[in-house]
Amino acid sequence: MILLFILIALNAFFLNLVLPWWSMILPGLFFGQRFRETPLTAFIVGFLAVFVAWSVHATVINHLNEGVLSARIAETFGVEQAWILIAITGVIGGVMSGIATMTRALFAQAQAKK
Amino acid sequence: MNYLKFALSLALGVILFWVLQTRWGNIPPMGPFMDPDEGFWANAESSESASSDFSIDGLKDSVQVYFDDRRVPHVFAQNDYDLYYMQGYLQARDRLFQMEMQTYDAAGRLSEIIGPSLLERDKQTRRWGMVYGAEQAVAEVQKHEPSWTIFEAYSAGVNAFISSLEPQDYPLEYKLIDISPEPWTPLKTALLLKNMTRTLAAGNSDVAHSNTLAYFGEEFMEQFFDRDYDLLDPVIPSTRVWDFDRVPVEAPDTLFVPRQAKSVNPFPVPEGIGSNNWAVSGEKTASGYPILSNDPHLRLTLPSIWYEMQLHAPGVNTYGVTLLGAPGVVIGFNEQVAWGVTNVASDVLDWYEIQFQDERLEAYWHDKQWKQTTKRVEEYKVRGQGLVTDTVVYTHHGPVTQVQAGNEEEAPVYHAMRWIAHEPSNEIRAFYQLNRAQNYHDYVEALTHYQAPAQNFVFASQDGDIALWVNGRFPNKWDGQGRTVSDGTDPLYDWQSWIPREHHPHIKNPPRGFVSSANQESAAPDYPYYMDDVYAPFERGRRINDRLSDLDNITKEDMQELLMDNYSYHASEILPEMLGWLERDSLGGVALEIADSLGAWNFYNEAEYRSPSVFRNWWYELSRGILSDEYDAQVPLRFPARDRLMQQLKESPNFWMVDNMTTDRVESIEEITTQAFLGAIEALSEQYGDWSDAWDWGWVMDNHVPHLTQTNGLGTDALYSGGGAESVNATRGTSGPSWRMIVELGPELKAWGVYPGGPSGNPGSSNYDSMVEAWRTGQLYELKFYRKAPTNDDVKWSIYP
Repeated sequence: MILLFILIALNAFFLNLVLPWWSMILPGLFFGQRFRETPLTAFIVGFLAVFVAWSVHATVINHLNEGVLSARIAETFGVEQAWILIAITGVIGGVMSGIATMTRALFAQAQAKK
Repeated sequence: MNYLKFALSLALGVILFWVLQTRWGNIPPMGPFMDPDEGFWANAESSESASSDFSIDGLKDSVQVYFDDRRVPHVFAQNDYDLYYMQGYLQARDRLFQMEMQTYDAAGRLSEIIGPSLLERDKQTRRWGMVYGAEQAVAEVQKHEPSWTIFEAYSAGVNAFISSLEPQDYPLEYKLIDISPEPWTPLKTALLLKNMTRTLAAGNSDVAHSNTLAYFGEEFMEQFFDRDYDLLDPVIPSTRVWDFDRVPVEAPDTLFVPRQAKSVNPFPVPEGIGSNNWAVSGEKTASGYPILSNDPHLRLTLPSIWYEMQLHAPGVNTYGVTLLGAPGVVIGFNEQVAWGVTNVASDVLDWYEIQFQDERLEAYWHDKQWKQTTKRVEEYKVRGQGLVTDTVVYTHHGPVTQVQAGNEEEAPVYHAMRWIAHEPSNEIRAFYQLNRAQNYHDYVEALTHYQAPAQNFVFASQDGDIALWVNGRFPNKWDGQGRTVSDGTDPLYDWQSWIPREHHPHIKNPPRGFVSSANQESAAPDYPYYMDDVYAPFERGRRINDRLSDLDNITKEDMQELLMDNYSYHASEILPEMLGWLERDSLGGVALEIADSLGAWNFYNEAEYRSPSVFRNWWYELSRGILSDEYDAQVPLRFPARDRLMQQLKESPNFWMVDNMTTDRVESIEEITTQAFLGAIEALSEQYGDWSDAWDWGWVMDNHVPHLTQTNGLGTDALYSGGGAESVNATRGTSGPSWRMIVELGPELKAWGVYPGGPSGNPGSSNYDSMVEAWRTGQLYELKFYRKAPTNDDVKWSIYP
């Protein structure tokens, strides 16, 4: 489980540097059945891995920027605090990855029971 | 069963992908927008760029760019082509979105990127012939080879930057709106200049003036709109002798009476657009050399309308502020001379009532014959809606707009517009030559290429000359021509000729030792030509002239103080009278206290005073009380200017409009003034609570700088500061001094400046609003004007072709 988490998080992070935003689904699709997780665990691990990868990435950027931009964008979107933007960032990446990982696990399950 | 679960999960993923990939209303596609590598996070700048060496295709030779401690770029090029190429490159790098947005607006293309909500604005833009005018300008520029080269070099530089961008590098606003940059063209530069003409030289009240004349009669118009009363202090002083005979112009015997119309100006000029400039001669300065000062008042936005630069190449070394999208320095100086601008409110936009032969709008009556129209089909690729077309009819006057008749059952009225923006012109050539001017002669020659928007060009040189030309292209009109809607069938209403350049109001080295302008009338009533009757009220111009007359041994600090001068001539002229009319016996408690504090006020619009807030509201209520009952028509009417109404009240306080027509009794000025006073206190209490510091003018005036697109979060907070529309420091809400500059000429030319913004257009940069606080508090930065390439610790780019 931990290995899956690490594989997804690292790969999602690096793929995102060269590919468009949706690239975070690729590690989950690729590794999603490798450790025979249940679909629910697959979703949770896939979600947490990219949630962490994206929110840490955003946190580092935000820190280096001294929060100048996140404060403005938070106001644009009518949210109170900059950390909410970081959370939204993590959730968007996490949910997409979680669904991808779960989809792959469900596919593997269906194949196995055929 | 298991495949069904898989299929559902897959479908959920696909749907979510689609939701996150799509723009919903004004919400950007959240997937790409929140992506930490490619979305808005990528615009969060983390560090200053360091010195670097790199190459850009398209340069002819190597170029160095130095960024000083305020990140102002100083370009050192080997030839003109590279100089303007780099200007384009750097402006795009810092302000690309602004450049594109301004030209989308000027081209009537906003609906392409925003959607149907802006289609009406776009149609108005095209019906005003903005693109037509820009095309005329491009054709004119192409006739002058050196100018065309600059346009092309500039465009190539912008495009070199655009082509270096990947989607993650796009400025933040592109990601918010979900669009990509498109290539720059010389037409866009022309459009940008036409946009300035629309901002500064599209003011007109022809329809309202005609309606008002029909409603109130001639005597009223003379009383309130003919401008020759004592307080006026024109740009060119009344001592100037006009030793020429005017070029004659034939006027109609009787003034045309148009059909009443409800035309609403779609691009109203917000009050607060205006400017100050002045130059004092060496006889009045401590250094013995002239000092020049300028602060153009415009709508304030982030990013700022201006971009500060130094441009150095063989034959030119100039510094100042540039417009985003136009090559050259617009307001600034070089080693020998300095110049600045304020707007001239001459009437260069007139409306003509057109008689068409029939509904096909193919022929119109003019000069006793039917003349053919031309038609221009305008296409709009509206985002989310597809192609929309609109046919605009052109007469020899210009494009035709259909307006609503005064009475809704009547057939519509057609108005053709004659506008200076449609004349072929090449303003960039004027700036190109000004940037290189060595003396008064060069300055005058440069100005001959400048047509619109007309400006008061103030000038000072190291030779010791000071001068001011009211400069632009002005139609030679008969008295009052174009104040009202004109007769489109009668050639006597056409613009028959132009005022010859040598007859323009201008002055050089006047005996009083200074020249100045503040958008007031260009010359005294004895000036032989009619230019307009709508100019800025007298207050700023008179205050500047008063101060400059009084001052001697002038230093930069004196000029800085005058730029920040908050004195209100308006209040000092009328407040004592208003307090005199106030029925104190009927006041109680706080109202009496407020009246007393007004009596002790020194007439300065300082941020920490409450009196300016009370006075402004009181004056507003008083004007409304006097005018609103008489101004009760179903068509747009023209209101007397602030200073004109004030003058009328001083001369005869109980003139006929003071009485409230809707009551049976005759009200006196005392009653109306007291009602207005109580009304003002009530209005302020409602908005700001009890009489307290919350009434401070600094808050009530509500100075702040919003983002160009008014997007929340991308502008500044409230900027507590003094000033006022009638003060030299003409801040007012979201318009005001967009660039404050002082230049002290001499062997060691020194200059200072500030604008309410920063060099970067990126809201994720600390340089986005880095000068706002200095601007708010009236500080100026000393400008680093390098005579030769510096050897300091500036960030340096060495760029190779």
